[in-house]
Amino acid sequence: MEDILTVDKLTKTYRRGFIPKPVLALKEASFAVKKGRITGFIGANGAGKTTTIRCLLNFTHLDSGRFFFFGTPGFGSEARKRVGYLPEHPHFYGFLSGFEFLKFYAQLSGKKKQASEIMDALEAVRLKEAADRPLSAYSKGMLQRVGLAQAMIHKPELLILDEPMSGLDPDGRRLVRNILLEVAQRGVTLFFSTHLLDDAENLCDDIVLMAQGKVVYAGSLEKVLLQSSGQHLLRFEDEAHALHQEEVAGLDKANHRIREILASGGRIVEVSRSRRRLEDVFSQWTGGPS
Amino acid sequence: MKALLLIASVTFKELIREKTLHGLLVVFLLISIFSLILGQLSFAEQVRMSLDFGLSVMHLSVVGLSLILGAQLVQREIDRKTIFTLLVKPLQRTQYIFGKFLGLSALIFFTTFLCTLFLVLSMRYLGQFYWREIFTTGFGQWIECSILIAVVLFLSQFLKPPVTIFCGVALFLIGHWFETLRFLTQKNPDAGLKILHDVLTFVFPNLEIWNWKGMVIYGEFLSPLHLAAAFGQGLLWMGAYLFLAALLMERRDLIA
Repeated sequence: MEDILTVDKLTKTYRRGFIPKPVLALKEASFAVKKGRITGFIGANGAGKTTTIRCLLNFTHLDSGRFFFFGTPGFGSEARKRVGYLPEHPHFYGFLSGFEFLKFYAQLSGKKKQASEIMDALEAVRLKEAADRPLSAYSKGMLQRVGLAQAMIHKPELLILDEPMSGLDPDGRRLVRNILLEVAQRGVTLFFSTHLLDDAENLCDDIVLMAQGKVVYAGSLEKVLLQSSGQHLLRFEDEAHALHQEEVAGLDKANHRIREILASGGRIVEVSRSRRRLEDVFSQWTGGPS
Repeated sequence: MKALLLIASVTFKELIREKTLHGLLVVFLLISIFSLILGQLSFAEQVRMSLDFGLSVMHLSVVGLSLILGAQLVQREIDRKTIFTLLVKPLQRTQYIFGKFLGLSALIFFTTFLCTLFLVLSMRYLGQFYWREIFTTGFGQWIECSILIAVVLFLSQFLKPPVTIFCGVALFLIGHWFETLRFLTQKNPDAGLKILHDVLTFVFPNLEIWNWKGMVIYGEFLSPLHLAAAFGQGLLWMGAYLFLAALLMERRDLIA
């Protein structure tokens, strides 16, 4: 599968404090985002997710490393036309109505949009009814959705979102999640940072896991959930046809236990690898509490 | 160019709703009305006194507005993260800076126009019709404010807004005291003072160039050529400071 974004050894140091001291925010972070996939960018607060995104979008300058959007180095004018972005908790011009707001961002993107197209964009984020209302009257969830609409107004191929579901109530999160799934179904590649592991587990095909400025895992979510668990789940019936369930660590032990059950006259009903939660994987990789 | 004008337009629309602007306009109105009353108390020169006072208040109001709004123009958008949704679009940081400048400069133009209109009507009420003189002074004040906006936009690239405002006020005062500084330099043999004078005159304009209040009050006529030359000189200073601001903006890390 084609890599739509390739990141190679990004390093970034900030200088903080009255007497500026260097703080390492990113240390040789490398990963790739595959076309048409939903990639979660996961890490605790301060892990370096936002810094990475800001480096990729040229908001901050790199110390070293390189990155490619659509195979082209850097974030040039061509990439800008093909990428949409929504930061975490942004403030929008409150005096603009939802319609005017999208029209402004469409014009800024160099796209001349018909009124019907803007209304469609609002419809896609369930805000058609609020089109004429000023953004200052929007709720937090509505602002997040109109923010999503501005990120998508120029029909980007890659959508980069910084904590898109952070600070929303459960209904708001579900709504945003559904919108993101719809966007992904249209073939848009999604790359979003989050520390909400449930959302990442429900949405993502791939994950990039960051801890203390380093990428500790980048790849398939399914693979890491299965790989990280050495447990096998055995469901079997004994000779009296009573159903049992056992968890066995390691493949060899599982095989040995299966032979024991069969030898004692039992029947194997199901053997499967236990699938761990992303939360467990996260704790394991980042050294947090398990 | 279109992106630049879009930023200018949205900046103007945003700033026109600013409470600072409304507050300063109210203060200007109140003080101007007070000046009319004060003028009536004087035995002579009522119109000249009211006009002088009104133009001074207008000057301070628009300069204050330029410094306060200009100092936070960029930093506020970084803090609120609005800038990130803009700069991810096909918009250069230089275009962003110039757009912000144009938006605020247009607002100051509009505010100055409103104030001058009020003063023209006040003078009409007092029986004098000084519209050309008052508008000329307003024009000079707008050029001066636009230079100050460019200066604070430059300073705000590396200073926090309160420090930027402080430095802006200091430069405003220095800009109007160049003649005094030159006089002191001539009278005082201190080499340090001379170096300070030379450096300041090199890096900052003499703002008295655009202060036409005195000429107008005493009925001196400013030719269109004079106005055009002063405008051109102002544009050069604005351009220089905006160029530096854009240069720093391109290089800085945008951190909320």
